This record gives sequence, structure tokens and C-alpha cells, in this order.
Amino acid sequence: MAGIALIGVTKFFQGRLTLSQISLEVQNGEFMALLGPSGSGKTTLLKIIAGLEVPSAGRVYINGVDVTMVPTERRQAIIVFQDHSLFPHLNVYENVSFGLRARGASRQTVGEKVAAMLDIIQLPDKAQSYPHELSGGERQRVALARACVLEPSVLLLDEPFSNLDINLRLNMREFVSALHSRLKFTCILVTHDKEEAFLMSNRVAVLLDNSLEQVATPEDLYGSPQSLQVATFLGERNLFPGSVQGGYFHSELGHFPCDLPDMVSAVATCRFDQVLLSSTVGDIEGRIIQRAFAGRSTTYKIALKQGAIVTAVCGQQQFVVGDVVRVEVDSRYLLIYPS
Amino acid sequence: MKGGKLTLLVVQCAILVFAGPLLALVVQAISLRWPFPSLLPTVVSVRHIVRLLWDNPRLAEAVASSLGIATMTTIFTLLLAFPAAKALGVYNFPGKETIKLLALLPIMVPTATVTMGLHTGMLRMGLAGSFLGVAIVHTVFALPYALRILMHVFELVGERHEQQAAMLGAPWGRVFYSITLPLVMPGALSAATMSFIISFSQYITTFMIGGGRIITLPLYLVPHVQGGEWHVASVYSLVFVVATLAALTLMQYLVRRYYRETYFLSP
Repeated sequence: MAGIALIGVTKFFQGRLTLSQISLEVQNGEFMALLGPSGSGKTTLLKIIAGLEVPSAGRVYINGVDVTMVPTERRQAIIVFQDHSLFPHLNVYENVSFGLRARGASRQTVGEKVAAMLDIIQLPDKAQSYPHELSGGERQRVALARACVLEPSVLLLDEPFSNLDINLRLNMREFVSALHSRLKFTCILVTHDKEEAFLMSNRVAVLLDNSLEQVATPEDLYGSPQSLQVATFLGERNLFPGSVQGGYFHSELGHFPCDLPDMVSAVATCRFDQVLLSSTVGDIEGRIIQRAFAGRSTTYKIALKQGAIVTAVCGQQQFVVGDVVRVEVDSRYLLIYPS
Repeated sequence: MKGGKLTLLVVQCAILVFAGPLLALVVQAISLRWPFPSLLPTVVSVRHIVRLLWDNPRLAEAVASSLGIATMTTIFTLLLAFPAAKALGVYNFPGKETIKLLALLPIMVPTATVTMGLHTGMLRMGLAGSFLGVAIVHTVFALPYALRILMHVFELVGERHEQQAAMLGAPWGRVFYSITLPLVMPGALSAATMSFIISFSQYITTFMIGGGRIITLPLYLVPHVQGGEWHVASVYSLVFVVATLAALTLMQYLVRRYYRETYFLSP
């Protein structure tokens, strides 16, 4: 029984299509990242799962139960938003205990559970403080506590770390991962940060242009993007236009064996770090036109004879602008898509 | 600083403008006889005031009617304004701007015109000459103000806190009482105050709808002014001011007792 199941979820907003036939299964206790550019409908999808929006078509299941028409307050799904939405007129204790009190828990139970949760988020002394007296990271932790104290089946995080500075973000990622290991809720994390998605999740769902393009483990997604759109979205990739003929892909980069049927226009891609540069080894010759040294790695832009620009990222720092280098790409790394 | 001195001057003038007439009222109230062309009142009396107020059942009736009708008006206005303000402030729907304009109409069209139309309706419903009828008509005129105020507050507060509360499992009533109400309280209080004052000060509407059977404080006061009895009129005017202030202070106090003073609307 899946933690969350979406079948054909479609949403129109004032005539505009926001989500198109989204079908997704998130396993019980799984941590899934929902990756996509801003405005791709990720937040809308979370709202539909939590019950704040009704889908124009399709069904939503939580723990095997059809909750498409069940009102928000009776679903077991809570969203923690980017702006934490803490109730400004209530202090930390009242915020965290809000859900418990609304469900009629006894004062003693509430007290115990809130105290335990405040310990987990490491803010035991802030129970009487108000949201405006807390820092950004503290507010986010209180928002998480407010949701987790209810032991929800499903926790939905809408880019919760985007407003925090980098160190805090790293801490919060670890914190949420630890919370997830401990409480074992089914979680969807919406983010536009690939690294965050890969670091934290069991699987990643890529939402592009209102549809779900690919759902895979981080390794599978990174190594084998299924379509040109996904590959482009993941970025840090070179694109080489060319054609396919007789089982081979022909382009300025060379000729590589290819499974696709003959076609006039196809695109091959490889990651920046899959381009090998050498002074001696390699079929293709090019000239370095740009060099950016970033410490751990150096990014080079190389112009090939017929004008194509290749970007390479590697640990070698010895090349400088103007050098003639030899470029090679292992054909195993080259992914070819119809264009 | 020159800027500071100018501001101070403006503020002092403003205070004079508001306090001046009040002071004049007090002076008139204690002047039992002040015939032209004396520069100062010839007979000053406070005992007369007491007599005017104490042995006056019709005054007491008028005050009670005013307070009662104003309370009813405030309740009706808030009941109507809350859901309307939330819809107009938070949601987007076709015809929204038209409805906003329509809601403002009662104060844009001359009062007597609107009231005559309402009077016909009241007659047909059998409400003419009744407290309820007068309160309903007062509500019509108070609603635009209350709506404007509450609408702006709802626009500021938005829906996200209520949505969050719902996700945490709170039913609608709990969300309204614990989340919505405290967050819009400043606006609600302003709207209630406006409604109360508007109803309390109504003359033409009460006169036309009440048909002479409902005597509120303004109705009781005006004949004395028209009759040139400055002394009496001033005393009743002061009663008006005191009654209004007392009612509003009570309202604020009761509300503050149940809700905390400090809350911030975080961005």
C-alpha cells in the first residue's frame, strides 16, 4: 500500500493548465524529492495532496484511501511552507500544540508531546517566545515541530530551506533527514536545487512543463536522464546537434554508435565532467577560449574547428586560454536523443 | 528643527479645532441664561443640568433607543461584512470589481434618496416604525465603511494561516475563533466602532423609517436646537458625546480582555 498515490491528477487555473495527468506513487516511509523549475506547479501538487486545492481531474490516495474529496482537516497530510506560516499571535508552545489541542488531546498529553518535540528541535527554552522573536532557522524548526508533533502519515515540504543561508541550509537538511529516519513519515520535498534533491531523497520526480518527466533514484536520474528536457534541466551538460544514419550518430564531435533509427536531427549530450582534455590524446582538436579556475575544478570553454563550443570541467589547471588541446568523449557517456 | 516646530503647530491647531467646539458645548451647557448682547452668561447653573437629566424619562428612552439600535446595527453589519470582506479581500472571482463598487453605493447616493426607497420596502415588510426596521436601514449605511475596513485587513492577512490551521486538523469554527478573529481584530474593532457611531448619529434615516414612533437621541436633540434652546441642546449634546465614548470604551475593553495586546503580522 503506497503512502501517497496520484492517478491522472490534472489542474486548471483560470483556464491555464498547471498540472497535466500526474500519476505518481510514493512508497510508505519514502523520502521523495519533487524537482522542477519555479512555477512548474510543484506547490500546486502539494496543495492537492494536502487538500488545499481540488484537482480538476484525477484522484489522490493516502495510505490506500481515496481522499480526493476529503476536506483538509481530515487528511493526514501537512505542508510546511517556505515562509513557515507560524501563527504570529501565538507563542511557540501554542503554535506547536495547536494541532493537538484542535483534536481534543488532554492537557497532559499535549504538554508531554510538545516538550518532547521541543527537545528534538533543540529549542526547549523557547516555549514562551513569539515567532517574531525567533531567527529564521528557529522558526523553520518550530514549523517542522508543529507538523511532526501530530505524527502525520505524510509530510510535504515546500522549499523550506530556500530562505536560509547556506550553513543553516546544510544543518536543516541533516535535521530533516534525521527527523525522517526517526518518525518514518512519507515525505515529499519540493525543491529546485538538484543537489538537495539528490542528497536527501530515495527517489526524485522531475516535473517539467506541467508533466512528470521522470521518476528515478538520484543515481539513475543523474546518469541516465530519460529525455532531452530532463537532461537540459539537470544542466551542466554539453549539447551536440547532429544526425543519425546507419546506426551511427554523426556530429562535429565525431561518430558514435547509436541505437536510434535514422533521423535528420538528433542531439547528443554529455556532462561537463565527462569531457577529457589532453595535449596529445584525442581525435578532435580545439582551442581554449575561456578558463575559470574555481579551486576544486577548472571550467574550460573550447572552440572546435567548425565552431561548436564544448565546456569541460576537470581537475587539470595547466591549460590556458589560447592553448590547442585534444578533446575526447567516451562514447559510453554520450546520451543521444531525437531532437 | 523647523520641521518639528511646524508639525507641533499643526498638531496644536488640530487639537484646538476638535476641542474648541466641545469646550463651547460645555460653556453653553452651564449657561442657564445668556441673553444677547452680554459678553458672558448672566446665570450659570449646574443644578439645572442635573434636573434636566434626572427627571427626564424621555431622554432616558432616547438614549436607550440609540444604544439599542446602534448595538443591533453593529451586530448586523459585522455579520454581513465578515464573509463579504473575506471573499473580496482574499479570493479572485469574476465580477469582483463590480461588486466592490456596488457595495459602496449607499454612501455615494444621497441619503434621503436611498432612505425613501428603503422606506417603501420597510412598509411592505411591516417593519416601518420598528426598531428592527431602523437598525436594518442603519446597517445599509454602515456596511460600506465596515466592508472597506475589513476588506483591507483580510487582504493583508490573507488565507495562509487559516489553510495551515486546517491542515493541522482544526475544524472551521476553531480556525475562525483561534486564527482568523485574532488576526483581523484591529479591523473588526474599527469596523464595529464605525458602525456604532454611524448608527448613533443617524437622523434622517431614523426620522423617515421610524415614522415618529422611534425617538433616538439625535431626534430628541434636534427640536431643541431648532427651537433655540441652546442650554438644553448643549446638555443633550454632551450626553450624546459621553454615551458614544462610554459604549466604545466598553467595546474595546471587553475585546482586549479576551485577546492579547501584542501580535505582529510577520511578512
